[in-house]
Amino acid sequence: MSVARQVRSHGWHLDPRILYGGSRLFVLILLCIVLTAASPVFLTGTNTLNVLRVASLLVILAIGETIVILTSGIDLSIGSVLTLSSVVAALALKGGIPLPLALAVGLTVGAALGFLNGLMVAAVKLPPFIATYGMLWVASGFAVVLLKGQVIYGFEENFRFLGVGHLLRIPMPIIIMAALWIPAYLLLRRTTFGRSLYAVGANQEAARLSGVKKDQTLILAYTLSGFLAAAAGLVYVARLNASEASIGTNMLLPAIAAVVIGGTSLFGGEGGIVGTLIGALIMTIVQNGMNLLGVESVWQGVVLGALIVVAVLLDQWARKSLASEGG
Amino acid sequence: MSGVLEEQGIRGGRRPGVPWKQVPPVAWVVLTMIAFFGLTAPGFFTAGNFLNITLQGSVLLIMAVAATLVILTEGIDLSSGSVLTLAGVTTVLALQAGLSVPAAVVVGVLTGMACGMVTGLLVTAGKLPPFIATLGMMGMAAGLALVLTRQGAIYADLPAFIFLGGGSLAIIPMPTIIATLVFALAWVVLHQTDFGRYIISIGGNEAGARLSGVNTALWKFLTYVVAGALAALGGVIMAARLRAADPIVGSGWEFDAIAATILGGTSFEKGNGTLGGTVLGVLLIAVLRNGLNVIGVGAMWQPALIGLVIIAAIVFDVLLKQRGVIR
Repeated sequence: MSVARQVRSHGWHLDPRILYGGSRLFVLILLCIVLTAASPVFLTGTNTLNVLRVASLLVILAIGETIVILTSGIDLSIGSVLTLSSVVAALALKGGIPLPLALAVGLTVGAALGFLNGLMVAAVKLPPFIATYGMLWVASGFAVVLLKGQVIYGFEENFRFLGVGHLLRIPMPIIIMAALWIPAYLLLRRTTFGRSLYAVGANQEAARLSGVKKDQTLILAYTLSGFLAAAAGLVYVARLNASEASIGTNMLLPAIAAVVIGGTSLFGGEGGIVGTLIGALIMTIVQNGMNLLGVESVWQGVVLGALIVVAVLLDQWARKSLASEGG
Repeated sequence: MSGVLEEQGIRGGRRPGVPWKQVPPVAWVVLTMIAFFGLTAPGFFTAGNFLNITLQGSVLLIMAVAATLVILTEGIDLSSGSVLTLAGVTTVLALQAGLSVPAAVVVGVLTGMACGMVTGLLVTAGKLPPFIATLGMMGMAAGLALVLTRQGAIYADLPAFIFLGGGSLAIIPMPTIIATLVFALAWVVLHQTDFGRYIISIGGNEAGARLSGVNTALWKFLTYVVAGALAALGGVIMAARLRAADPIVGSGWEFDAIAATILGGTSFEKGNGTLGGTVLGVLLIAVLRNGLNVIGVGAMWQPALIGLVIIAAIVFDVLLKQRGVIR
């Protein structure tokens, strides 16, 4: 199929799929050029690291969302799973539980909530947006209960290191992001599970008939999403040095926007986390740019909502023209 | 065989044998809850408290009627809570600008219809999955509400306006009267008009409806416009009850509305269900909220508990249906 396409395009003609895949990288580079021209500090090493550091939280969340969307599902609960798991970890730390154990507890809570999402989707067969939307409200409800309406301040230095520390002058959030992104990339590209994700998303029934373990794949996908949301939450609380019941509220839309802008299809089976990395960088730079241009932060919800809708519209339009052109 | 039985069911004829199987399970749950709260809380079984339940359930009933119509077309509206918020804000702003109460209410309802038009266009002309179109609208409407209120509550204290939320005719609260009228109107539209027949036929088999000459895009579009108008009406009533438009007042309402619809037996996959079932779903949530208040469960616990009960009920309902225990 792809050989036939290359023959037909005589080698010199750029494959439209590559052009389409590269377009978001082009947008990213264009944004960088514009901002470099507009602001002398943009391309400095410090600012680049700063943008990457801010983006890393979004990348961690968006990796999980990508994995779920690849199965043609959606995880609307990542924001409140982030909140609840980080609240549990924060309470554990304040209760005198040693750091490694507290981190493990937080990550386990996230994975367990994701596992429940996966059960509801795979075993009960609830539509993913219903199952995870229910989880959104339950998890944020329990975060409120656990915190009793308070905010927990001031954590030990070792924990804070995860959010504000540096290793070889690179901020820790970037290192943690890379330490999660690289295994996730290998998982998607090099393992049976990765191939199953794409197969389940592309055509659930065919995947099941051809021996892909659909239910296991779905459950693992949602579990990973919960785990990654918890990881993002721990880094975020370490950075803020505070845990409160509303920290995850505004995380969902940016994460979905990053995935969609990164070119992962909402109908499943197409895309990946290279695109998501670029999408998250674009999102961060856009938000950064809005701040630089003095756009009030209250407008950001409006912009995000519009951005998601426009990105999906553009993506569908591009795919349709690819399909009619590529034949 | 089963087709014949179903036809009898539609015409209101009773099936022979096991009549209790015809009672939707949610009705048993509601009765059990009323009995439980009646026995445990002295203040529960009073006329005043029952009127109170209808008052508390009125906005939810209006929202759930909208959710039912949308879900009957196999769609979903995640934006209704934010549209409720935004419409309340524009209504109060119109009052503050000196418009008369009827004119301000019209401004609010038009706001909701405008949101519904955008959503409807995205779903029909843009061919976006409804959950993503309405998620985008959720971000935009919630963001606009924050922008317009400058992130704080805005107040309205015209007696004629407050009457819509706090007044009563004889002893029946105005919101209860409005919600009853909305329900009656929706029932007539769904069962006695072409619009209603088309909504039902789209849900059953959209391709079939389109092939038999129904302009499915038009009727789906109109369904989202009606849903927007109803959410806006809910926003007007909330603003009148609270004497203020709060920029986050509607957060989470869409979840309760969707939950009430599902608990009332409306199905996502088949696009079938009844408005009568939705009333039972609304009663379940309203009685639960009221009962928890009466027996003194703190406000902090309520979102977590109610979310948990709703999700458990949905999972239970779906599992029972899959096993054929109930229809």
